[in-house]
Amino acid sequence: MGAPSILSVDQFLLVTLHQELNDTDVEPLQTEVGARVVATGARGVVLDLSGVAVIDSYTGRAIAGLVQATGLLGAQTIVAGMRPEVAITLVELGMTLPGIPTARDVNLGFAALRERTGPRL
Amino acid sequence: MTEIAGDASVADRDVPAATLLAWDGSVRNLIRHRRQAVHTAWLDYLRRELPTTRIQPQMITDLSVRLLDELETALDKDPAGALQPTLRNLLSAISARFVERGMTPSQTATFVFSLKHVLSDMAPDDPAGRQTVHKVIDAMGLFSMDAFIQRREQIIAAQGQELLELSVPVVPLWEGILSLPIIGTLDSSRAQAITEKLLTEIARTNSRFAMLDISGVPAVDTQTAQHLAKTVAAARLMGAECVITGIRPAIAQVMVTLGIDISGIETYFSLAEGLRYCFGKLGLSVRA
Repeated sequence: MGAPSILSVDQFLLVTLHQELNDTDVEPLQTEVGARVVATGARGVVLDLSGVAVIDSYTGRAIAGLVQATGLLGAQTIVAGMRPEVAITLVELGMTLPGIPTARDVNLGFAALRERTGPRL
Repeated sequence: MTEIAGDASVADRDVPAATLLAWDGSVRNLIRHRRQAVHTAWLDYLRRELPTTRIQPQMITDLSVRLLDELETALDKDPAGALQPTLRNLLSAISARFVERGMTPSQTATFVFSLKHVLSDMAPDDPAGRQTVHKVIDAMGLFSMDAFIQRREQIIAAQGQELLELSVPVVPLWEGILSLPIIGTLDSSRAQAITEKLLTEIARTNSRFAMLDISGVPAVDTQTAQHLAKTVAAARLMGAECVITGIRPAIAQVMVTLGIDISGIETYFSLAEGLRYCFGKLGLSVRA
């Protein structure tokens, strides 16, 4: 539990959140993910939310910001494994994360990334 | 809730023949020494005033015996005070039984209050004693009424919950495809129940598609559409796509008129077409 973890999987990154983010977590996370994307040439990121039980609007916005920043570096992010309570909370907060692709779980997330990014040239 | 069990036999209360002639005319001792007579008179009165096939005579007999026991204890301990816990438990249990057997509130009240008439008839020369026992029986009757209402409300709430559960069936149609036929109007509480049930099932079955069929929904207004939109958005966040089927021409027209925008959501009249869409997305096809 605690800080998010970042793992290299094939040509992608797996970022796992364990709990809601607060303001001391967000900037380091964005910086680290950005650095790893550049260092590994990752074409996609799976953001694993399966361990997050509770969410607030701050974390929702942080996720949207992370996806946008990572997108600018050329890596597509897929949000995976969101729990029912978290999904309902975000929708009630008016945060439907439009334009951000989602997947039922991490495996499906990687499968979707492979489909989207195609074979490595 | 106390279970009414055991053998409160009236015979235990019979007193030796020597004291049979010694009743002083008081209500207090009427109950203590003439228990059998009181009970018989009460049962006669109940047979006349409370004719019912809903409760077996044996149960009436048992309950009245227990109530007489508790009344005697109450008169001994503290007639002017609050009802004892054992008496309250008994009255709650009696009321619950009556509710469950479909008796009315007034029948329940009659059961308790009738004892006043019986005791008054049998002890005409003890006005003070009558007044004391009337106060206790009044308190008992009022408590029984509250217990009756409480039990009835419990049952209604449980039935409401069950109705809500039954009205939201989520059926796995195919691997990765759930079916959710929505029947009836979609108010806020039902919409919430439906959303929670659907999302839980999506997580449990790891489904990627949910077919929401609204052919059983009589009308779609702006609020209903908003509920549906929220459900679809939440499912999408979880990685599942919702397909709405069962949209009839009349409903489609209303939605256009109201300016309800559900672009971005696959919608169909026919469930089969909706299923075909999901199969396509999963890379499946049906062959003859």
